[in-house]
Formats: sequence, structure tokens, C-alpha cells
Amino acid sequence: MNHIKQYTIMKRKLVFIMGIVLFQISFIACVNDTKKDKTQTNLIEFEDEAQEVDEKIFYRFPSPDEIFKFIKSSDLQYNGGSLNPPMIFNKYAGIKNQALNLGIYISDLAYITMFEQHEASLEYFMAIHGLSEELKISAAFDEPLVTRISENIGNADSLVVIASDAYTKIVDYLVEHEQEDILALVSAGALVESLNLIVDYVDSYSDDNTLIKKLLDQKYVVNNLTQYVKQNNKEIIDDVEKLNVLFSNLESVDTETTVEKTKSNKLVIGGGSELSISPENFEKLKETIQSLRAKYIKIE
Amino acid sequence: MRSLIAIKLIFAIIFMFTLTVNGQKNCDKYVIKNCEAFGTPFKYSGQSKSALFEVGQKSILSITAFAGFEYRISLCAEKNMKGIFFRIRENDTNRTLLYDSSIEEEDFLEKMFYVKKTKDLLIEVVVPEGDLALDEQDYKKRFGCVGVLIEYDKRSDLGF
Repeated sequence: MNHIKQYTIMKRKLVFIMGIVLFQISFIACVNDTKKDKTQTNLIEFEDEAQEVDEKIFYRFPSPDEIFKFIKSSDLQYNGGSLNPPMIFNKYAGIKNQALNLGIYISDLAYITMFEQHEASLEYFMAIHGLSEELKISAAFDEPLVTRISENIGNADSLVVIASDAYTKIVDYLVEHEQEDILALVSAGALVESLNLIVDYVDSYSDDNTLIKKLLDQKYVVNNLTQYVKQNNKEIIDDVEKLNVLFSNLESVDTETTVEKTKSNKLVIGGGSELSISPENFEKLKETIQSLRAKYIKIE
Repeated sequence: MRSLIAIKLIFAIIFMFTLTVNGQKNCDKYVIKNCEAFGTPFKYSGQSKSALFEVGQKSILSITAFAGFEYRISLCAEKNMKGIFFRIRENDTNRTLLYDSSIEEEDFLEKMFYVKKTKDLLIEVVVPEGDLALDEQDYKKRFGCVGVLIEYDKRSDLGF
């Protein structure tokens, strides 16, 4: 009797396992079919290279700390009043607002660490961590972010690295988990905040203002962000398009591109566009950046 | 007893299958884990990218290079991505070729450069098809992870 019972259990187990095996085989077959399709697509792309078939372009943009390093000069003073207060992070509701403000806080943190205002940084780290938890992406940080920060609060260099790491980890996590729609929002928030912090330094227009020149150079970053948003999140496309149009209409004097090599075999790419803007268009650009930023940080 | 061994064997096969299928697709953080950074004084740029490539594939990264910065681009890839190289192109209508790493005799997987004026550049990464026709190649060997590491630093030859 006992043997019959054991036999029945074993039989059920085998049926169950066979079921799993069949499922796995069909799953693998599906994956392979998809890959075969992909292979064919890639082949077509490669064979038709001469026919100028559309290729997949990955649009990348510098992180906020790269942008701030680019604009920083010795005469720039810290302006904490321009930042979004970190204590209100939990007032942002909904994925769109939370993701946009996560980007804004990431940008603020990059700005703070660049000016070594470390006592202010902990609250911004907390806001970033809090919004990451709300968006269910806090797993991006392999160890509790707040612990890591409190252990390094007196160490300026470590905080800069942690701040930059926080951005990289969020980007990697969102790409890895196929949440590039959220990454588009985070990146837009971060870029709008970076641009806003730059224009806040410019009270009045002058054509030799270095900061304005560096702001105009963000034209390429804004264009790449716009293409990325088009690919991944149509929700904010009107906002970024508005910015992109203003940057695309900048006046430019173009010189032919040249390529040289230094003695150490470094490539030197010369030529390109000298960008400029009229006082009226600068005011329009400044106003657009500020109104977008005001719209994003508004608590609904 | 025999049935138990059979069950364990079946589970092991299922596990191996799952690992093979999923492992092949996973190139996440490849650039951070595998590309050798120049390191100090260069810093990791958020414009770096990891991706799954197929032999014979070409992909393009659109990046911004700021004037006043110096950049280092380096590629790293799995062994089966033989002959991988990159080109730097201007983002104009003709995609003017500025640099082709395949013609270098050494260090063809990395290049340092700077721009005199801020520019939008296209980094074109190519994995050649190789000698075997695609149909004859082992299916799994046709795919591999590729990392494009971009590092930057303020130009050292500026100022005092």
C-alpha cells in the first residue's frame, strides 16, 4: 500500500517536472525566435548600411557634476538660496513629480558638493534616498546610502564620489530594469535644475559673459535629452522641445572642423560653432528655464 | 533512489538552461565591471554605456564633448567580439569621419582627445562580421557584451 502511495507521489512529481521542462523549452524557443528576428533585423541594418537605413542611436548626456565642473570658475560663489529645499521631498506625489524632483535633488547635490557645502549635503542625500524609495528604486544603492554618507560626512572627496555614484547607480538601475521612461524624467529634472542654477547667476545680459557662453554650449546636451525623451517618455516632450527650439535657434558662426594629433598622440578636434544669443532671446531662454523649473518643483 | 537522481539531474539541466539564456542577455554595468579606467585625474562620465552586441553590428552613441575638458574613450568587450573598433564622427549631415581606431597599429581600443569648441560627437562602435558566415557561427558566440567607457578631466595644458 505504502509502495503504491510512494509511486503515485513520484508519478505526480514527474508530471510536474515534465511540465516545467516543457515550459522551459517553449520559453527558450520563444527567446530564440525573438533573437532570430533580432539577428535578421541587425543583418538587414548592416547589409543596408550603404542604403542609409535608420540606425539605433543611443543619446547620452553628461551628469550634473560634469556640467557644474564645466561651468565652475573661481569667481562663482555658492548660492544655496537657488536650490529646492530638501525637507519637502515627501510632499511630491505621483511617479512623474517624484522622478522629476529626484533629478532636481541630484543636481542640487552635485552643486552642493562642488562648492564643498557638506553640512547641507546630508539632507539632500536623504531627499534622494526618500524619493528613490517612493519610486521603488532604492535598491540601486548596494549599501544604505545614508549610512555611507554619515560615515564620510567630514570627507569632502568621498562625498563628491558618493554624490556622483548616486547618480550613476540610479541611471544603471533604471536602464537595467527597463525603466527608461523614469530615467527620462529624472534626467530632464536634473538638466532643468542645472540650467536654472546657471541662469540664476546672470542678472543682466552681456555678450562677453563666460557663463552665458557656457550656458549656450548646453545646446548639445539639451538636444540629446530631447531625442532621448522622444524615445522613452512622451509625457514631458513638450517641455523639452520648448527648450530645444530656443537652443536650436541660437546664432552661430561656423568654422570648418580640423583634426590634428599632439606629440603624445592626443587627438585635437578644432573648428566648430561659436554660439551667440541676442539679449531678447537670452531673456526668453532664462524665462523658459525658470518657468519649467517652477512647474516641476510645485507641490500639487 | 534512481528516480531521485533523475529528478536532481532534470533540475540541474533546467537551471543550466535558465542561466545560459539569461546570462547571455545580461550586460548590465559591464562598462563599470570590466573596462579598465585610466583613473585619477580622469573621472567617470555619465555618458559611458554598456550594451549587448551581435557580430556584424554597428551602434552609435551621441555624446557632448565640452571645450576645456580632455576625454578618454576606451572600449572593452567579451572575447568573441573579435576585431571591435570605434570611429569618432562629427554630428553633421555627412557624419564626417574624425577618427578611425581600426587603422591604429596599437592602442586601437582607446583614444584621448579634446575639442576646441563644445561639440556633439558620434561614437560609432563596430563589431566586424569575421570570416565565418553568420549562419555557420555558433549562435551563442555571435553575441557579447561591449562597454564604451568615457572619462573626462579638465584640460591640463590650460592656465598656469
